[in-house]
Amino acid sequence: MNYVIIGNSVAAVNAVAGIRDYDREGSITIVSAENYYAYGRPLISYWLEKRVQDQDMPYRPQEFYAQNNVCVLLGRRAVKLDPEACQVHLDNGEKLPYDRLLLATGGRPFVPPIEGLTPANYFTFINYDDVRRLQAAAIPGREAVILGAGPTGLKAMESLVQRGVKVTLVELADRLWAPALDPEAGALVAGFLQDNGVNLYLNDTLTSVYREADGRLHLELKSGRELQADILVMAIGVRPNVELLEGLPGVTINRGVVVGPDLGIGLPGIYAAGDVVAGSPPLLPHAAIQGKIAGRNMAGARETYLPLPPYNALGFLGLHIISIGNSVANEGYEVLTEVDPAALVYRKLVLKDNRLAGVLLINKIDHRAGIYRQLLEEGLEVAPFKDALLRPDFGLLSLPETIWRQKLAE
Amino acid sequence: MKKVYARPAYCMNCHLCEVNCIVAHSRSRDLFRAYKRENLRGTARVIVEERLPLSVAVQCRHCDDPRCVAGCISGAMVKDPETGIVYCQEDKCVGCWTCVAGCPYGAIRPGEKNGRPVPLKCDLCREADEPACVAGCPNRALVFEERRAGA
Repeated sequence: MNYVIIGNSVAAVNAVAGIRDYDREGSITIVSAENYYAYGRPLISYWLEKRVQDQDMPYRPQEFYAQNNVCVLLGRRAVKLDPEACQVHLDNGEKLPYDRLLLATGGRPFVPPIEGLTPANYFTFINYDDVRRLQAAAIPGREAVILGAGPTGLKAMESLVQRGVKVTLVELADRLWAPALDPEAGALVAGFLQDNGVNLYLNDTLTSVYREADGRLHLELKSGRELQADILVMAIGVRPNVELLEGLPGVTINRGVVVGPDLGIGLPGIYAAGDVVAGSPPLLPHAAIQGKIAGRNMAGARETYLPLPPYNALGFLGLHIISIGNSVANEGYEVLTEVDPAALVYRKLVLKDNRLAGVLLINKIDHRAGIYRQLLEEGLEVAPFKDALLRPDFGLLSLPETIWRQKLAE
Repeated sequence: MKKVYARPAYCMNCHLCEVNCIVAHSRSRDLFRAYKRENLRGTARVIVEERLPLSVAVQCRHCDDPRCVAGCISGAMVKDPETGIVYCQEDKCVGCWTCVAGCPYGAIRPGEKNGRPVPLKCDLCREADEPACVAGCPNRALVFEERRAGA
């Protein structure tokens, strides 16, 4: 069996492991547009603030590829997919035949058209090369404007602050990280950022940018506000890399590529995993799990990917947040909270029909987060122990006895 | 694989498993030094949950498809393909705590050692023959054994 994987990040590496669970012999080729062996993408902010060095960037040890008998084509792009001939065309003219193909092409930063915006006057914040470029510009005392205050913008903010750069966040929504933080939580986190010297402009966005004679950027916002900056970071979202699939009969594109329960895309032998998949939250655990399952299915297993609710752990400047499922919801749901604004603590459980639908934990995160996530994913009825959910001693033993006994026997 | 199984009926809530876990994961391997010099109080990787008179030690189940490994952003958390042990290469951990949100059993807690993040989770004392919690359990409330799936 001849396996080809396009992409070389978390989904791809986990697909290799998945393939090797079932097939020790088949040849595996990875086509990697980046010139690096797989690294944890979220590590780039840690690298920029020097908490992680180059040697600690790899997601798997160097031996991983050799041990799994994987050939990696670094710095090579797939430019065309020919499902009739079962071939992938590369940017050097080479054609790679495959029996099973995985699209793990991920996503790329979405950069809307803005007057005066050119690749020469902004940075993105998604890969190793982005932070290598940014490193040279991120000098203490300089000023940066980050467009977008979601997880990417917030991690970019953290690493720039740690490098001594003065940061302004500009966010179109009425609060930070709007898909995860409700207004109260958003206000809490906004206060924390302002106390750490970060400027925050909400309900606003960039309308034009130009470089002044002194080399600095002049930014105009929708509100009419004008800002000066040395660095502009675009962090408003990612779009799936689906170009190889466009126009192929039998494939459905809905931003990402639509997959079946086996992660097949509807063409013989072709699967997809990670941020390129339609409707999947662009989160690392989801990419890893999909990669593993797709890999196993490519090697003959029949596993099903059940769409997982989003869950995300995000820390910046010492503040840790865990968001699971629909953590924003209020109206129409039962909401349990534990709030201590002075300590920046906000713990919120969202319930619907006595089942967990969302969890938001700020500045007090512990092992209970994992149990909440599991309860949410399993859809277990929490009525019998609802009062215990937010108590400090909530744990496995709070669940019905048959359940905790079964879990401890696993 | 061999795992640690709790036998709640035999647990007398003495918390010695936690103490022995801390010592086994200390530099000195000495109870006094671990607590008074290395400041490791509260860093056990096994936690005795209490609903008195019931008590039971909860720790990592070393899942076949571990969520903590899938969610690890740095590649620090791994499952040893030979032994099945799920453990963290602590010098690679950046303390994002996705593993904490991932663990279905609540068996990973955010911790810190010498200013560095450490996910506090059981590693089955992977360099020893028998985990310290089991070795020191005075009433065999914890056993280290191979059980068939579903058994």
